[in-house]
Amino acid sequence: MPKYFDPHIHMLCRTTDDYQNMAAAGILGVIEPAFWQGQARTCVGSFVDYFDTLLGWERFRASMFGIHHFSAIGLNPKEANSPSIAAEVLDILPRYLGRDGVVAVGEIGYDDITPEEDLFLARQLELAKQFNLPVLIHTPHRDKIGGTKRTLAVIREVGIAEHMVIIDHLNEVTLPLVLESDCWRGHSVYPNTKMSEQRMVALLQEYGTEKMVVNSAADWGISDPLKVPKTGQAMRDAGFTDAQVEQVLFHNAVDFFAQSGQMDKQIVSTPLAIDQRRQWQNNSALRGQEPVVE
Amino acid sequence: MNLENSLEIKHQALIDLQEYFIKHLEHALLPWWQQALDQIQQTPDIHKVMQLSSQCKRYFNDDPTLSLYNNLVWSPLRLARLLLLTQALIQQPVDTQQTFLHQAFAWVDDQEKISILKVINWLDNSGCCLDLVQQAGRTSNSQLFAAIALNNAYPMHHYTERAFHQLILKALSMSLEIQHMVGLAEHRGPVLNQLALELLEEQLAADRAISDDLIHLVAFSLLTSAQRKYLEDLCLQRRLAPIWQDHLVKVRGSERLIVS
Repeated sequence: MPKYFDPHIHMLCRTTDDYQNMAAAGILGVIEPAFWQGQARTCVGSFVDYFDTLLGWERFRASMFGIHHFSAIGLNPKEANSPSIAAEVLDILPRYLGRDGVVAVGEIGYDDITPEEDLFLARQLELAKQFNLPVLIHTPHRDKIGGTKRTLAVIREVGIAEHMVIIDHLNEVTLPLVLESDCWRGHSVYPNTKMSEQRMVALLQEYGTEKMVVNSAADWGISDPLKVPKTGQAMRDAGFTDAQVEQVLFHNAVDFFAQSGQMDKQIVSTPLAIDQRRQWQNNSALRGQEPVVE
Repeated sequence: MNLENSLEIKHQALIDLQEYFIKHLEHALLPWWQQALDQIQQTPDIHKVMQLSSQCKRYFNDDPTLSLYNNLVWSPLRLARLLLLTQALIQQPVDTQQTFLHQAFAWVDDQEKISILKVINWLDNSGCCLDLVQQAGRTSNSQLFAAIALNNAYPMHHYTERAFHQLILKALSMSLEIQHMVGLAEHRGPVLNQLALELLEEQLAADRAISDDLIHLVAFSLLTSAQRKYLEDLCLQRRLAPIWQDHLVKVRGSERLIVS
Protein backbone atom coordinates (compact mmCIF):
# COMPACT_ATOMS: atom_id res chain seq x y z
CA MET A 1 0.00 0.00 0.00
CA PRO A 2 1.43 3.43 -0.91
CA LYS A 3 2.10 5.97 1.82
CA TYR A 4 -0.40 8.82 2.05
CA PHE A 5 -0.38 12.21 3.77
CA ASP A 6 -3.39 14.55 4.01
CA PRO A 7 -1.98 18.09 4.16
CA HIS A 8 -5.29 19.88 4.76
CA ILE A 9 -7.92 18.38 7.03
CA HIS A 10 -9.85 19.75 10.02
CA MET A 11 -9.66 16.77 12.36
CA LEU A 12 -11.08 18.62 15.36
CA CYS A 13 -14.42 18.31 13.54
CA ARG A 14 -14.05 14.58 12.92
CA THR A 15 -14.61 11.44 14.94
CA THR A 16 -12.20 8.79 16.23
CA ASP A 17 -13.67 6.43 13.57
CA ASP A 18 -12.22 8.76 10.95
CA TYR A 19 -8.75 8.50 12.50
CA GLN A 20 -9.02 4.70 12.54
CA ASN A 21 -10.23 4.52 8.92
CA MET A 22 -7.54 6.94 7.76
CA ALA A 23 -4.79 4.96 9.45
CA ALA A 24 -6.17 1.74 7.95
CA ALA A 25 -6.15 3.36 4.48
CA GLY A 26 -2.45 4.23 4.77
CA ILE A 27 -2.58 7.87 5.85
CA LEU A 28 0.50 8.42 7.97
CA GLY A 29 0.10 12.06 8.83
CA VAL A 30 -2.09 15.12 8.56
CA ILE A 31 -1.86 18.89 8.65
CA GLU A 32 -4.69 20.71 10.35
CA PRO A 33 -4.95 24.37 9.33
CA ALA A 34 -6.77 26.77 11.63
CA PHE A 35 -10.10 27.73 10.09
CA TRP A 36 -13.53 29.24 10.59
CA GLN A 37 -15.73 27.51 13.14
CA GLY A 38 -18.96 27.86 11.17
CA GLN A 39 -20.01 31.02 12.94
CA ALA A 40 -18.29 34.21 13.97
CA ARG A 41 -15.92 34.20 16.93
CA THR A 42 -16.52 37.11 19.27
CA CYS A 43 -13.21 37.58 21.06
CA VAL A 44 -9.52 36.78 20.82
CA GLY A 45 -9.83 34.26 23.68
CA SER A 46 -11.78 32.02 21.35
CA PHE A 47 -8.73 31.87 19.06
CA VAL A 48 -6.35 31.22 21.97
CA ASP A 49 -8.35 28.18 23.08
CA TYR A 50 -8.73 26.95 19.52
CA PHE A 51 -5.03 27.20 18.68
CA ASP A 52 -4.09 25.57 22.00
CA THR A 53 -6.51 22.72 21.30
CA LEU A 54 -5.04 22.11 17.85
CA LEU A 55 -1.52 21.92 19.27
CA GLY A 56 -2.52 20.03 22.39
CA TRP A 57 -5.56 17.79 22.60
CA GLU A 58 -6.00 17.20 18.86
CA ARG A 59 -2.36 16.31 18.31
CA PHE A 60 -2.63 13.88 21.21
CA ARG A 61 -5.89 12.41 19.84
CA ALA A 62 -4.26 11.76 16.44
CA SER A 63 -1.35 10.02 18.14
CA MET A 64 -3.78 7.62 19.83
CA PHE A 65 -4.50 6.22 16.37
CA GLY A 66 -0.96 6.24 15.02
CA ILE A 67 -1.25 9.42 12.93
CA HIS A 68 1.33 12.22 12.90
CA HIS A 69 -0.47 15.53 13.44
CA PHE A 70 0.82 18.98 12.49
CA SER A 71 -0.88 22.36 12.35
CA ALA A 72 -0.92 25.52 10.29
CA ILE A 73 -1.84 28.50 12.44
CA GLY A 74 -3.36 31.71 11.14
CA LEU A 75 -6.32 34.02 10.87
CA ASN A 76 -8.95 32.67 8.50
CA PRO A 77 -9.92 34.96 5.57
CA LYS A 78 -13.51 35.46 6.74
CA GLU A 79 -12.30 36.42 10.20
CA ALA A 80 -10.11 39.18 8.82
CA ASN A 81 -13.32 41.15 8.37
CA SER A 82 -13.65 41.78 12.10
CA PRO A 83 -10.72 44.23 12.22
CA SER A 84 -10.55 44.76 16.00
CA ILE A 85 -10.48 41.03 16.81
CA ALA A 86 -8.27 40.31 13.79
CA ALA A 87 -5.63 42.76 15.02
CA GLU A 88 -5.58 41.05 18.42
CA VAL A 89 -5.24 37.64 16.77
CA LEU A 90 -2.24 38.86 14.83
CA ASP A 91 -0.66 39.96 18.09
CA ILE A 92 -0.92 36.42 19.52
CA LEU A 93 0.22 34.56 16.39
CA PRO A 94 3.96 34.87 17.15
CA ARG A 95 3.53 32.85 20.34
CA TYR A 96 2.22 29.94 18.26
CA LEU A 97 4.32 30.08 15.10
CA GLY A 98 7.43 28.78 16.83
CA ARG A 99 5.70 25.95 18.66
CA ASP A 100 6.31 22.25 18.07
CA GLY A 101 4.14 20.85 15.34
CA VAL A 102 3.41 24.19 13.67
CA VAL A 103 4.56 23.75 10.08
CA ALA A 104 2.96 26.73 8.36
CA VAL A 105 0.98 29.92 8.56
CA GLY A 106 -2.53 29.12 7.39
CA GLU A 107 -5.06 28.89 6.14
CA ILE A 108 -5.07 32.52 5.13
CA GLY A 109 -6.21 34.27 1.97
CA TYR A 110 -9.40 35.73 0.56
CA ASP A 111 -13.11 35.18 1.08
CA ASP A 112 -14.99 38.31 -0.04
CA ILE A 113 -11.75 39.94 -1.27
CA THR A 114 -12.24 43.00 0.95
CA PRO A 115 -9.60 45.62 1.85
CA GLU A 116 -9.45 44.09 5.37
CA GLU A 117 -8.68 40.66 3.90
CA ASP A 118 -5.99 42.29 1.77
CA LEU A 119 -4.39 43.83 4.84
CA PHE A 120 -4.39 40.72 7.03
CA LEU A 121 -3.21 38.47 4.21
CA ALA A 122 -0.22 40.74 3.64
CA ARG A 123 0.55 41.01 7.36
CA GLN A 124 0.45 37.23 7.79
CA LEU A 125 2.70 36.73 4.78
CA GLU A 126 5.14 39.10 6.49
CA LEU A 127 4.92 36.99 9.66
CA ALA A 128 5.64 33.85 7.65
CA LYS A 129 8.72 35.55 6.23
CA GLN A 130 9.90 36.48 9.73
CA PHE A 131 9.42 32.94 11.04
CA ASN A 132 10.70 31.36 7.82
CA LEU A 133 7.57 29.24 7.63
CA PRO A 134 5.66 27.95 4.62
CA VAL A 135 2.22 29.43 3.95
CA LEU A 136 -1.05 27.70 3.12
CA ILE A 137 -3.33 29.99 1.11
CA HIS A 138 -7.06 29.40 0.66
CA THR A 139 -8.58 30.62 -2.61
CA PRO A 140 -12.12 32.00 -2.47
CA HIS A 141 -15.30 30.24 -3.54
CA ARG A 142 -16.62 33.34 -5.30
CA ASP A 143 -14.71 35.30 -7.92
CA LYS A 144 -12.15 32.51 -7.77
CA ILE A 145 -10.16 33.66 -10.77
CA GLY A 146 -9.99 37.26 -9.52
CA GLY A 147 -9.10 36.05 -6.02
CA THR A 148 -6.31 33.80 -7.27
CA LYS A 149 -4.81 36.59 -9.38
CA ARG A 150 -4.97 38.96 -6.42
CA THR A 151 -3.33 36.32 -4.18
CA LEU A 152 -0.41 35.98 -6.58
CA ALA A 153 -0.08 39.76 -6.74
CA VAL A 154 0.06 40.09 -2.93
CA ILE A 155 2.66 37.31 -2.68
CA ARG A 156 4.84 39.32 -5.06
CA GLU A 157 4.16 42.61 -3.30
CA VAL A 158 5.22 41.18 0.06
CA GLY A 159 8.19 39.44 -1.50
CA ILE A 160 7.87 36.06 0.17
CA ALA A 161 9.67 33.30 -1.74
CA GLU A 162 7.09 31.60 -3.95
CA HIS A 163 8.45 28.13 -3.19
CA MET A 164 7.36 28.72 0.43
CA VAL A 165 3.72 29.15 -0.61
CA ILE A 166 1.06 26.62 -1.48
CA ILE A 167 -2.11 27.95 -3.09
CA ASP A 168 -5.03 25.69 -2.30
CA HIS A 169 -8.46 24.67 -3.62
CA LEU A 170 -7.30 25.07 -7.22
CA ASN A 171 -9.39 23.94 -10.17
CA GLU A 172 -9.21 23.76 -13.95
CA VAL A 173 -9.28 27.53 -14.41
CA THR A 174 -7.09 28.65 -11.49
CA LEU A 175 -4.34 26.02 -11.68
CA PRO A 176 -2.91 27.47 -14.94
CA LEU A 177 -2.57 30.86 -13.21
CA VAL A 178 -0.52 29.32 -10.38
CA LEU A 179 1.56 27.26 -12.81
CA GLU A 180 3.07 30.52 -14.01
CA SER A 181 4.56 30.99 -10.52
CA ASP A 182 6.91 28.95 -8.35
CA CYS A 183 4.15 28.36 -5.78
CA TRP A 184 3.03 24.83 -4.92
CA ARG A 185 -0.38 23.73 -6.15
CA GLY A 186 -3.02 22.45 -3.72
CA HIS A 187 -6.24 20.68 -4.67
CA SER A 188 -9.09 19.73 -2.36
CA VAL A 189 -10.97 16.63 -3.43
CA TYR A 190 -14.54 16.89 -2.19
CA PRO A 191 -17.67 14.75 -2.56
CA ASN A 192 -19.56 17.34 -4.65
CA THR A 193 -17.91 20.72 -4.88
CA LYS A 194 -14.30 21.85 -5.38
CA MET A 195 -12.68 18.85 -7.18
CA SER A 196 -13.41 15.17 -7.84
CA GLU A 197 -10.90 12.31 -8.02
CA GLN A 198 -11.45 11.97 -11.77
CA ARG A 199 -10.97 15.68 -12.44
CA MET A 200 -7.83 15.58 -10.29
CA VAL A 201 -6.46 12.72 -12.35
CA ALA A 202 -7.18 14.69 -15.53
CA LEU A 203 -5.22 17.67 -14.17
CA LEU A 204 -2.27 15.41 -13.29
CA GLN A 205 -2.38 13.91 -16.79
CA GLU A 206 -2.40 17.35 -18.38
CA TYR A 207 0.06 19.22 -16.14
CA GLY A 208 2.24 16.50 -14.58
CA THR A 209 3.04 15.81 -10.93
CA GLU A 210 5.59 18.48 -10.04
CA LYS A 211 4.58 20.48 -6.94
CA MET A 212 1.06 19.05 -7.21
CA VAL A 213 -0.55 18.39 -3.83
CA VAL A 214 -3.90 16.81 -2.98
CA ASN A 215 -5.91 17.03 0.23
CA SER A 216 -9.40 16.23 1.49
CA ALA A 217 -10.06 19.55 3.30
CA ALA A 218 -12.55 17.48 5.29
CA ASP A 219 -14.32 19.45 8.02
CA TRP A 220 -17.70 19.53 9.78
CA GLY A 221 -19.50 19.73 6.44
CA ILE A 222 -20.28 16.87 4.07
CA SER A 223 -16.75 15.82 3.19
CA ASP A 224 -14.63 12.68 3.12
CA PRO A 225 -11.40 12.17 5.09
CA LEU A 226 -10.44 9.30 2.78
CA LYS A 227 -10.30 11.40 -0.40
CA VAL A 228 -6.50 11.25 -0.55
CA PRO A 229 -6.32 7.42 -0.75
CA LYS A 230 -9.38 7.44 -3.03
CA THR A 231 -7.52 9.79 -5.38
CA GLY A 232 -4.60 7.33 -5.19
CA GLN A 233 -6.90 4.58 -6.40
CA ALA A 234 -8.22 6.79 -9.22
CA MET A 235 -4.62 7.56 -10.25
CA ARG A 236 -3.73 3.86 -10.34
CA ASP A 237 -6.90 3.11 -12.33
CA ALA A 238 -5.77 5.74 -14.84
CA GLY A 239 -2.35 4.13 -15.24
CA PHE A 240 -0.17 6.10 -12.83
CA THR A 241 2.52 4.01 -11.13
CA ASP A 242 2.65 3.52 -7.35
CA ALA A 243 5.75 5.73 -7.29
CA GLN A 244 3.83 8.56 -9.00
CA VAL A 245 0.91 8.09 -6.64
CA GLU A 246 3.22 8.33 -3.65
CA GLN A 247 5.00 11.35 -5.15
CA VAL A 248 1.79 13.35 -5.39
CA LEU A 249 -0.04 12.02 -2.35
CA PHE A 250 2.82 11.81 0.13
CA HIS A 251 6.23 13.19 -0.91
CA ASN A 252 5.10 16.49 -2.44
CA ALA A 253 3.08 17.52 0.59
CA VAL A 254 5.75 16.44 3.07
CA ASP A 255 8.54 18.08 1.06
CA PHE A 256 6.65 21.36 0.98
CA PHE A 257 5.82 21.51 4.71
CA ALA A 258 9.22 20.08 5.76
CA GLN A 259 10.60 23.46 4.66
CA SER A 260 9.38 24.60 8.10
CA GLY A 261 12.11 22.58 9.79
CA GLN A 262 9.35 21.18 12.01
CA MET A 263 8.75 17.97 10.10
CA ASP A 264 11.24 15.14 9.62
CA LYS A 265 10.38 13.20 6.50
CA GLN A 266 11.97 10.02 7.78
CA ILE A 267 9.87 10.08 10.94
CA VAL A 268 6.67 10.92 9.09
CA SER A 269 7.30 8.03 6.68
CA THR A 270 6.74 5.55 9.51
CA PRO A 271 3.43 5.10 11.34
CA LEU A 272 3.48 6.58 14.80
CA ALA A 273 3.71 3.85 17.45
CA ILE A 274 0.42 3.71 19.34
CA ASP A 275 0.30 3.78 23.12
CA GLN A 276 -3.24 4.38 24.26
CA ARG A 277 -2.27 4.25 27.91
CA ARG A 278 -1.05 7.83 27.60
CA GLN A 279 -3.26 10.71 28.62
CA TRP A 280 -3.55 14.42 27.83
CA GLN A 281 -4.24 16.56 30.90
CA ASN A 282 -5.69 13.44 32.55
CA ASN A 283 -7.99 12.89 29.60
CA SER A 284 -8.12 9.97 27.18
CA ALA A 285 -9.92 9.26 23.92
CA LEU A 286 -10.80 5.82 25.25
CA ARG A 287 -14.19 5.15 26.77
CA GLY A 288 -13.63 1.95 28.70
CA GLN A 289 -11.79 0.12 25.90
CA GLU A 290 -8.61 -1.89 26.46
CA PRO A 291 -5.73 0.44 25.51
CA VAL A 292 -3.84 -0.56 22.35
CA VAL A 293 -0.08 -0.57 22.84
CA GLU A 294 2.28 -1.28 19.95
CA MET B 1 -26.04 64.79 20.66
CA ASN B 2 -23.98 63.07 18.01
CA LEU B 3 -26.26 62.69 15.01
CA GLU B 4 -23.48 61.55 12.72
CA ASN B 5 -24.03 57.94 13.75
CA SER B 6 -27.80 58.04 14.13
CA LEU B 7 -29.88 55.35 12.51
CA GLU B 8 -32.60 57.51 10.93
CA ILE B 9 -35.40 55.09 11.72
CA LYS B 10 -38.39 55.10 9.38
CA HIS B 11 -40.94 55.47 12.16
CA GLN B 12 -44.02 55.40 9.96
CA ALA B 13 -43.08 51.98 8.55
CA LEU B 14 -42.79 50.61 12.09
CA ILE B 15 -46.10 52.16 13.10
CA ASP B 16 -47.74 50.55 10.06
CA LEU B 17 -46.16 47.22 11.01
CA GLN B 18 -47.45 47.51 14.57
CA GLU B 19 -50.97 48.38 13.38
CA TYR B 20 -50.95 45.48 10.97
CA PHE B 21 -49.88 43.14 13.78
CA ILE B 22 -52.60 44.36 16.16
CA LYS B 23 -55.22 44.11 13.42
CA HIS B 24 -54.42 40.42 13.02
CA LEU B 25 -53.98 39.71 16.71
CA GLU B 26 -56.45 37.40 18.47
CA HIS B 27 -58.63 39.53 20.73
CA ALA B 28 -57.71 37.49 23.82
CA LEU B 29 -54.03 38.28 23.33
CA LEU B 30 -54.44 42.05 23.24
CA PRO B 31 -54.17 42.57 27.03
CA TRP B 32 -50.90 40.65 27.20
CA TRP B 33 -49.52 42.54 24.24
CA GLN B 34 -50.51 45.89 25.68
CA GLN B 35 -48.93 45.19 29.06
CA ALA B 36 -45.75 44.00 27.30
CA LEU B 37 -45.55 47.29 25.41
CA ASP B 38 -46.19 49.16 28.66
CA GLN B 39 -43.30 47.32 30.31
CA ILE B 40 -41.01 48.22 27.42
CA GLN B 41 -42.10 51.82 27.67
CA GLN B 42 -41.24 51.90 31.36
CA THR B 43 -37.96 49.99 31.02
CA PRO B 44 -36.73 50.12 27.42
CA ASP B 45 -33.55 48.12 27.98
CA ILE B 46 -32.21 44.98 26.36
CA HIS B 47 -32.84 42.81 29.44
CA LYS B 48 -36.53 43.67 29.42
CA VAL B 49 -36.73 42.95 25.68
CA MET B 50 -35.10 39.54 26.14
CA GLN B 51 -37.37 38.69 29.06
CA LEU B 52 -40.57 39.56 27.19
CA SER B 53 -39.32 38.08 23.96
CA SER B 54 -38.81 34.73 25.67
CA GLN B 55 -42.43 34.82 26.85
CA CYS B 56 -43.80 35.47 23.37
CA LYS B 57 -43.56 31.79 22.48
CA ARG B 58 -46.27 31.05 25.07
CA TYR B 59 -48.70 33.39 23.38
CA PHE B 60 -47.98 33.47 19.65
CA ASN B 61 -47.62 30.72 17.07
CA ASP B 62 -44.76 30.44 14.58
CA ASP B 63 -46.86 29.73 11.49
CA PRO B 64 -45.96 32.07 8.63
CA THR B 65 -49.48 33.41 8.20
CA LEU B 66 -48.94 37.16 8.05
CA SER B 67 -48.18 38.54 4.63
CA LEU B 68 -47.25 42.17 4.29
CA TYR B 69 -47.28 44.71 1.51
CA ASN B 70 -43.51 44.54 1.18
CA ASN B 71 -43.74 40.91 0.09
CA LEU B 72 -42.40 39.56 3.38
CA VAL B 73 -44.05 36.73 5.23
CA TRP B 74 -44.09 36.69 9.02
CA SER B 75 -45.30 34.47 11.81
CA PRO B 76 -47.09 36.20 14.71
CA LEU B 77 -44.27 35.07 17.02
CA ARG B 78 -41.48 36.58 14.95
CA LEU B 79 -43.34 39.79 14.31
CA ALA B 80 -44.16 40.16 18.02
CA ARG B 81 -40.52 39.74 18.99
CA LEU B 82 -39.38 42.20 16.36
CA LEU B 83 -41.93 44.79 17.45
CA LEU B 84 -40.90 44.53 21.10
CA LEU B 85 -37.31 45.08 20.10
CA THR B 86 -38.07 47.99 17.79
CA GLN B 87 -40.27 49.56 20.47
CA ALA B 88 -37.29 49.56 22.84
CA LEU B 89 -35.03 50.80 20.06
CA ILE B 90 -37.09 53.86 19.23
CA GLN B 91 -37.24 54.81 22.91
CA GLN B 92 -33.46 55.01 23.15
CA PRO B 93 -31.84 58.44 22.88
CA VAL B 94 -30.95 58.96 19.21
CA ASP B 95 -27.22 58.87 19.85
CA THR B 96 -27.35 55.44 21.54
CA GLN B 97 -29.73 53.72 19.15
CA GLN B 98 -26.92 52.31 17.06
CA THR B 99 -25.20 50.82 20.12
CA PHE B 100 -28.52 49.35 21.28
CA LEU B 101 -29.13 47.72 17.89
CA HIS B 102 -25.63 46.21 17.87
CA GLN B 103 -26.11 44.86 21.38
CA ALA B 104 -29.53 43.43 20.58
CA PHE B 105 -28.18 41.80 17.43
CA ALA B 106 -25.42 40.13 19.41
CA TRP B 107 -27.86 38.77 21.99
CA VAL B 108 -30.69 37.40 19.83
CA ASP B 109 -30.86 34.04 18.04
CA ASP B 110 -30.70 33.53 14.28
CA GLN B 111 -34.48 33.72 13.81
CA GLU B 112 -34.58 37.12 15.48
CA LYS B 113 -31.55 38.25 13.51
CA ILE B 114 -33.44 37.32 10.34
CA SER B 115 -36.38 39.47 11.48
CA ILE B 116 -34.14 42.45 12.18
CA LEU B 117 -32.34 42.10 8.85
CA LYS B 118 -35.60 41.92 6.92
CA VAL B 119 -36.46 45.43 8.11
CA ILE B 120 -32.95 46.82 8.49
CA ASN B 121 -33.65 49.33 5.76
CA TRP B 122 -36.35 50.85 8.00
CA LEU B 123 -34.21 50.72 11.12
CA ASP B 124 -31.03 52.13 9.61
CA ASN B 125 -31.88 54.43 6.76
CA SER B 126 -28.53 56.19 7.20
CA GLY B 127 -26.44 53.04 6.66
CA CYS B 128 -24.44 53.39 9.85
CA CYS B 129 -24.97 49.69 10.65
CA LEU B 130 -23.45 48.62 7.35
CA ASP B 131 -20.64 46.79 9.11
CA LEU B 132 -23.10 44.82 11.25
CA VAL B 133 -25.11 43.80 8.17
CA GLN B 134 -22.02 42.78 6.21
CA GLN B 135 -20.72 40.71 9.12
CA ALA B 136 -24.12 39.03 9.39
CA GLY B 137 -23.89 38.27 5.67
CA ARG B 138 -20.78 36.16 6.24
CA THR B 139 -23.03 33.41 7.56
CA SER B 140 -23.53 30.01 5.98
CA ASN B 141 -27.16 30.07 7.12
CA SER B 142 -28.97 30.58 3.82
CA GLN B 143 -32.16 31.90 5.50
CA LEU B 144 -30.20 34.53 7.35
CA PHE B 145 -28.27 35.44 4.22
CA ALA B 146 -31.50 35.58 2.20
CA ALA B 147 -32.90 38.10 4.68
CA ILE B 148 -30.18 40.49 3.56
CA ALA B 149 -29.93 39.57 -0.09
CA LEU B 150 -33.56 39.16 -1.15
CA ASN B 151 -36.42 41.68 -1.07
CA ASN B 152 -34.19 44.07 0.87
CA ALA B 153 -33.21 47.52 -0.38
CA TYR B 154 -30.45 47.97 2.22
CA PRO B 155 -27.60 46.47 0.14
CA MET B 156 -28.61 48.52 -2.90
CA HIS B 157 -28.49 51.73 -0.86
CA HIS B 158 -25.37 51.10 1.20
CA TYR B 159 -23.11 48.36 -0.25
CA THR B 160 -20.17 49.26 -2.45
CA GLU B 161 -20.28 47.99 -6.00
CA ARG B 162 -17.74 45.31 -5.12
CA ALA B 163 -19.65 44.17 -2.00
CA PHE B 164 -22.90 44.04 -3.97
CA HIS B 165 -21.27 41.83 -6.59
CA GLN B 166 -20.07 39.47 -3.84
CA LEU B 167 -23.61 39.45 -2.45
CA ILE B 168 -24.95 38.40 -5.85
CA LEU B 169 -22.34 35.65 -6.27
CA LYS B 170 -22.99 34.27 -2.79
CA ALA B 171 -26.76 34.33 -3.35
CA LEU B 172 -26.18 32.41 -6.57
CA SER B 173 -23.95 29.87 -4.83
CA MET B 174 -26.68 29.36 -2.21
CA SER B 175 -29.21 28.77 -5.00
CA LEU B 176 -31.35 31.71 -3.89
CA GLU B 177 -33.74 33.28 -6.38
CA ILE B 178 -31.61 36.24 -7.30
CA GLN B 179 -34.38 37.87 -9.31
CA HIS B 180 -35.67 38.97 -5.88
CA MET B 181 -32.53 40.99 -5.19
CA VAL B 182 -33.41 44.67 -5.03
CA GLY B 183 -31.00 46.59 -7.26
CA LEU B 184 -29.79 43.66 -9.34
CA ALA B 185 -30.77 45.36 -12.60
CA GLU B 186 -28.88 48.54 -11.66
CA HIS B 187 -25.72 46.54 -10.93
CA ARG B 188 -25.59 44.69 -14.23
CA GLY B 189 -22.68 45.86 -16.33
CA PRO B 190 -19.21 45.02 -17.62
CA VAL B 191 -17.81 43.98 -14.22
CA LEU B 192 -20.69 41.65 -13.40
CA ASN B 193 -20.55 40.30 -16.96
CA GLN B 194 -16.90 39.40 -16.40
CA LEU B 195 -17.64 37.72 -13.05
CA ALA B 196 -20.58 35.81 -14.50
CA LEU B 197 -18.59 34.55 -17.47
CA GLU B 198 -15.70 33.47 -15.25
CA LEU B 199 -18.13 31.51 -13.10
CA LEU B 200 -19.62 30.00 -16.22
CA GLU B 201 -16.15 28.99 -17.40
CA GLU B 202 -15.44 27.38 -14.01
CA GLN B 203 -18.68 25.41 -14.01
CA LEU B 204 -18.13 24.21 -17.56
CA ALA B 205 -14.53 23.21 -16.84
CA ALA B 206 -15.71 21.20 -13.83
CA ASP B 207 -18.43 19.61 -15.95
CA ARG B 208 -21.06 20.95 -13.59
CA ALA B 209 -24.58 22.07 -14.40
CA ILE B 210 -24.70 25.79 -15.16
CA SER B 211 -26.58 27.66 -12.42
CA ASP B 212 -30.06 28.40 -13.77
CA ASP B 213 -30.01 31.96 -12.47
CA LEU B 214 -26.55 32.81 -13.83
CA ILE B 215 -28.15 34.29 -16.92
CA HIS B 216 -29.84 36.97 -14.75
CA LEU B 217 -26.42 38.46 -13.99
CA VAL B 218 -25.57 39.17 -17.60
CA ALA B 219 -26.18 42.49 -19.37
CA PHE B 220 -26.15 41.06 -22.88
CA SER B 221 -26.04 44.45 -24.58
CA LEU B 222 -22.83 45.30 -22.70
CA LEU B 223 -20.89 42.13 -23.54
CA THR B 224 -17.63 42.68 -25.38
CA SER B 225 -17.41 41.15 -28.82
CA ALA B 226 -15.01 38.50 -27.46
CA GLN B 227 -17.44 37.63 -24.67
CA ARG B 228 -20.30 37.46 -27.11
CA LYS B 229 -18.30 35.20 -29.43
CA TYR B 230 -17.45 32.96 -26.45
CA LEU B 231 -21.12 32.58 -25.56
CA GLU B 232 -22.17 32.08 -29.19
CA ASP B 233 -19.60 29.30 -29.55
CA LEU B 234 -20.89 27.62 -26.40
CA CYS B 235 -24.44 27.85 -27.76
CA LEU B 236 -23.30 26.27 -31.03
CA GLN B 237 -21.70 23.46 -29.03
CA ARG B 238 -25.04 23.10 -27.19
CA ARG B 239 -23.34 23.61 -23.86
CA LEU B 240 -25.76 26.35 -22.81
CA ALA B 241 -29.54 26.28 -22.46
CA PRO B 242 -31.46 27.73 -25.46
CA ILE B 243 -32.43 30.79 -23.42
CA TRP B 244 -28.83 32.05 -23.71
CA GLN B 245 -29.11 31.89 -27.49
CA ASP B 246 -32.44 33.75 -27.31
CA HIS B 247 -30.83 36.61 -25.41
CA LEU B 248 -27.90 36.81 -27.82
CA VAL B 249 -30.25 36.87 -30.81
CA LYS B 250 -32.39 39.57 -29.21
CA VAL B 251 -29.36 41.81 -28.63
CA ARG B 252 -28.15 41.29 -32.18
CA GLY B 253 -31.64 42.17 -33.45
CA SER B 254 -31.87 45.39 -31.48
CA GLU B 255 -28.38 46.42 -32.67
CA ARG B 256 -29.45 45.94 -36.29
CA LEU B 257 -32.48 48.13 -35.63
CA ILE B 258 -30.29 50.88 -34.23
CA VAL B 259 -27.93 50.73 -37.25
CA SER B 260 -30.79 50.79 -39.78
